Amino acid sequence: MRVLSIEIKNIYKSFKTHDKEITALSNINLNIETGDFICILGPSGCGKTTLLRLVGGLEIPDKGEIYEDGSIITGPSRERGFIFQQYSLFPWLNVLDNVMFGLEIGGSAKEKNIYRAKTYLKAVGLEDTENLYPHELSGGMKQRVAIVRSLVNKSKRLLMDEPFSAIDMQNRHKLQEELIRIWKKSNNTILFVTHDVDEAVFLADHIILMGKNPGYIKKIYKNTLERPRKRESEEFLKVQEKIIEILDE
Amino acid sequence: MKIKNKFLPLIIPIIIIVVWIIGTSILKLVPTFVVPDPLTVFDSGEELIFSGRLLRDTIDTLFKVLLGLLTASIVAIPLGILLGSSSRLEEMSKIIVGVLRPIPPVAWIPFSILWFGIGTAPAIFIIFMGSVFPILIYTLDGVKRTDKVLIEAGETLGANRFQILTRIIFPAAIPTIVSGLKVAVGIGLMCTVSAEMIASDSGLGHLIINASNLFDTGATVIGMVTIGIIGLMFDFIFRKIEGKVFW
Repeated sequence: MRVLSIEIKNIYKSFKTHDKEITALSNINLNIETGDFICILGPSGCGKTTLLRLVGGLEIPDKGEIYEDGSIITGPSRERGFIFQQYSLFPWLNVLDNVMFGLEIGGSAKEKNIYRAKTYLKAVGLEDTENLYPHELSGGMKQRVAIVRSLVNKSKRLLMDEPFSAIDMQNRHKLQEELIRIWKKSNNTILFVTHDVDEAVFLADHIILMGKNPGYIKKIYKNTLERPRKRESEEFLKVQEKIIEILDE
Repeated sequence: MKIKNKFLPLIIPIIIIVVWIIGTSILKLVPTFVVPDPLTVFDSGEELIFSGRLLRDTIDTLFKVLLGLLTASIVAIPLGILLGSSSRLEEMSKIIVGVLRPIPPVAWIPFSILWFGIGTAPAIFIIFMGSVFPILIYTLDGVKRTDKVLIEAGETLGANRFQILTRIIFPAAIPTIVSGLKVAVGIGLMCTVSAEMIASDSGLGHLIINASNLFDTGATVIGMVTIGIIGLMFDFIFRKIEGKVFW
């Protein structure tokens, strides 16, 4: 049985700049099922990051509600881990302490936290970086640590805002594969914002295609490509073409 | 000719010492009570060192500087974090901080004597007044410049408002706070010596003013140079700390 994880109802959101008001999102409705991998895809300025931040509780909608397991979202929570586009590791903590941050402030026992953090770091092959500080890591490693930091924290949902956009293509592909592995193992619900069609087709079950001025949902594309997905395959390219077609409409 | 870089800083001091020796001891251009010759300074230094007075006054001054800085930090750092994280409080404190800050610390000397008498306490009060504002302003600045993404990351990891302040905003501001302390130490040292000259019966400032009252220019020079060396030492220590806290 499929269970609703996030329910977005009639969302409106606008921002004031110094001289005018810009409507970022208008009449957004969306249901996200538990365990789904959703990509939100659209051109810059379509409000996709705003939509993700609303789900994260980092912004409050002007109108409408967002529900998580049936209750209204009023602010950020550890239930909704957020991976930012910018690097967001705490520069004064080493990798292990960064990963344990959520557990530590949650008040669970130190021994347990260390064990849990180390287990997760090992699972993604980062065990050798434990004592390194963020400035000693590559961009890709920083984002992997950020993902682990949310996973360790028992977040049921991961909200990811173009986390791999600053990373070179080869490493980006590796990170995408790793993310799929993590997702399959954890059964997390993932909401992933991107402007990269290839990335969306590779990752998502459902691709939310957005248009702009003001931001709205154009279409929800159900991506039935079998996993593991191959970028070179004919079907993959076909889906990609189809998506580009819808976006350009 | 190539000169090794680490000798470069020594060239100018050596030239000054040589000119000093030639000007005073050899050519005797000025009397020793105007500019003391090296031998006079050496004699005074010897006496101050072996009598234990130099060490005692140095420790006395250092103690005051550190105690003044400590009290200023205890007040200014939490206050800076508070003001930096609430624009309403910052707005409310704007005028009082704006008016108190430009007052030179030594201008507090009359009141410090009235309130605390003569001795260690008024000096510490002066150092407090001199260093509390730089530490406050730097802390406030560091807090306000905390990367927003770090705060949001903390929120989505489950941190409450208090944890955001203590676990994220405070550590993020530490490099800026250290810069503030570095500035405050310099001001604190100046304040101490000024305060000691007027409202104290111990310390290097007192040593200098006492020596000059007795026309002991040698001891005056020793006192001044010791202050310079203390400043240099603080600078060195803070550079080490900064190297550790700037990521």
